[in-house]
Amino acid sequence: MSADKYGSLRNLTDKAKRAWYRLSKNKLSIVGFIGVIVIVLAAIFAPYIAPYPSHAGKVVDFINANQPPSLKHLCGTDPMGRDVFSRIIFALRSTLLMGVVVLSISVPFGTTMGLIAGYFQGSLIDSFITRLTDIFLAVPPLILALSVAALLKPNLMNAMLAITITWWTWYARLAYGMAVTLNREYYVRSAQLLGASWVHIIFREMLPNCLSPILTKMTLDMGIVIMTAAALSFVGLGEQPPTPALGTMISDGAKYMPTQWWLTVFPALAIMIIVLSFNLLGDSFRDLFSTEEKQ
Amino acid sequence: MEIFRFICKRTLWSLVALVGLSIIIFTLSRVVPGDPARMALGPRATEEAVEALRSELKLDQPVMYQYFHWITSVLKGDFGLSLMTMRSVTDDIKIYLPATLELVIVAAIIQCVFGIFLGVLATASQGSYMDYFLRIVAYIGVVTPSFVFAVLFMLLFGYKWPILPVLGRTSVGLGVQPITGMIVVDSILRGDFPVAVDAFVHLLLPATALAMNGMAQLARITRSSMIDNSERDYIVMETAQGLSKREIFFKYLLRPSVIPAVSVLALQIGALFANAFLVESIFNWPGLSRYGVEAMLFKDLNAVSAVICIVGFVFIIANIFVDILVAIIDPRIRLKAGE
Repeated sequence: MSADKYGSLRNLTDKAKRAWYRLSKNKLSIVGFIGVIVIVLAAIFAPYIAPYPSHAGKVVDFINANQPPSLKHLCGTDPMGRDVFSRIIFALRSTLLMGVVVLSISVPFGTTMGLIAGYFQGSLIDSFITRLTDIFLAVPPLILALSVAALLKPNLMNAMLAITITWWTWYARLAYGMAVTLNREYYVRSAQLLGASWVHIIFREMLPNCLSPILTKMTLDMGIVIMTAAALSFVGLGEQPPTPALGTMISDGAKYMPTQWWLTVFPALAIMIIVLSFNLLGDSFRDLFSTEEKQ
Repeated sequence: MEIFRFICKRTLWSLVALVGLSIIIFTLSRVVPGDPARMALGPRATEEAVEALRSELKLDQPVMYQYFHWITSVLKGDFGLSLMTMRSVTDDIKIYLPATLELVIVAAIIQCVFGIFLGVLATASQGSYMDYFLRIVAYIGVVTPSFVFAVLFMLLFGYKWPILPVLGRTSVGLGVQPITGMIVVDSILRGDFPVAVDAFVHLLLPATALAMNGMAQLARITRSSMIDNSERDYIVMETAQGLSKREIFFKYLLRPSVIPAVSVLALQIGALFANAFLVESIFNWPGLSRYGVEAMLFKDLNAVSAVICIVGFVFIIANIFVDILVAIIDPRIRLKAGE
């Protein structure tokens, strides 16, 4: 792994080709890969894909209210007469944004904290960071996220903040464990002897060797963050109406449940498909990295 | 008794972490904008009434003093006044906690029994359609949030094929004089079996919805660790010695393979409590978690802090319990600790 950065570009493309070959051998990986791409594209191009783009906002169309699924309205319409399918497509935006923002803040932060604590193992910094992670792991993450989001003003930003606060600790733990073992490696020792600063050792020597497990965890976590975000918006602590969010759609739809089943079932299916796609992709990444390490 | 010392030390650190968490939650709850006293009394209350409530809640004092006051009364078992119910939070918790415990315990039992059973079944039928089918089911179980299961179960088994009750803890008019607060236990203790059956039937749907995630996870973990272990040398040796497949499977393969499943149990119990926050509101289950969500939305700070402390405390107990359980199942841990 450590030879990577000295390898030529051709070496890298070869590697990517080999990785792609192995990925494409597994049918489930392909399903996950295509699923993620379709979801991301649908979110980006929502205004062009959704049959009724204006229905993502404050539209009232009582004539078409409460229609069951049909060719005109694939997933039916809600009590306001809005097309459920269009609203689901627009809801993908905040859902994906949530996952991306949460992970892109919590992963670098958590990893850095973990590496610093692991590099200075046994020092005051180590015990401070370790105790800090313990505090955040003292209650289940969803409960902490719910209470932080509830104490702040309910909106998408604060929901992201609440989940980020609970999420970095897992990466700190993961990076800590790896840093502790890497401390004993010769290349870390020799860098120390040569007088390299701790910043150099942590970011240039240790980090590249921790990347593959961290990236794998990230893809698998994307689904879990999305599930947590849906849980928050289910309680009303996320994207505020009229902007659609999958969790809110399910909790609103549940009120009309026995008769207007399409209001809950389709957003529920959407969550399942999104999380499934990211999990399949994450699983195949994991297989990919673990076989690479064996070679 | 090294293992004992290890557990004591861990518990102590968890308690320290819990105190740290309470400081964070407390500070957060006091620095957020908005006046809890005004919110509790509503916009039409007089300024004097709001002022009186503020001084009663010590909201006019510095945060440090408030925290000190709060933590000393918590240690005496007093969580202060709930602004939502206008009762003592401790009394509220005494009513709501048993309902959640009952739900979480039944869910934990369901997920352990069925999760490990499905994992074993998938291993035994490895490579067949049964295995394939179970793996798909487990995958669906992992990717579906439990509140989605709750809503879908309610739709299917409550309305489409109404075979199970969907709301509340018992049918209307049935009840039992509380002893522990867990209706099934209480009614058995009092010998009132029809109520016990009724309460148990009411438990099934919410508990199963809650258990689905963990069940799928356990099935996956059990299957993969059994398959890993089945390539170990000692299993190969036992096969070579001519032990029957059944004997190897249940006597030598199963026990080491459930260890990874058991060690994730503490985390899973935490997840059950967390997901109960949503599942309870869907099934109108009058438990601690539903109370917690309502308190959060109402910004009832004393109640929120209390619920977090209680859940954190239960989480610590669950961790100790699982540590001991793993030590019982896995002799390697006992040996390592004894070194």
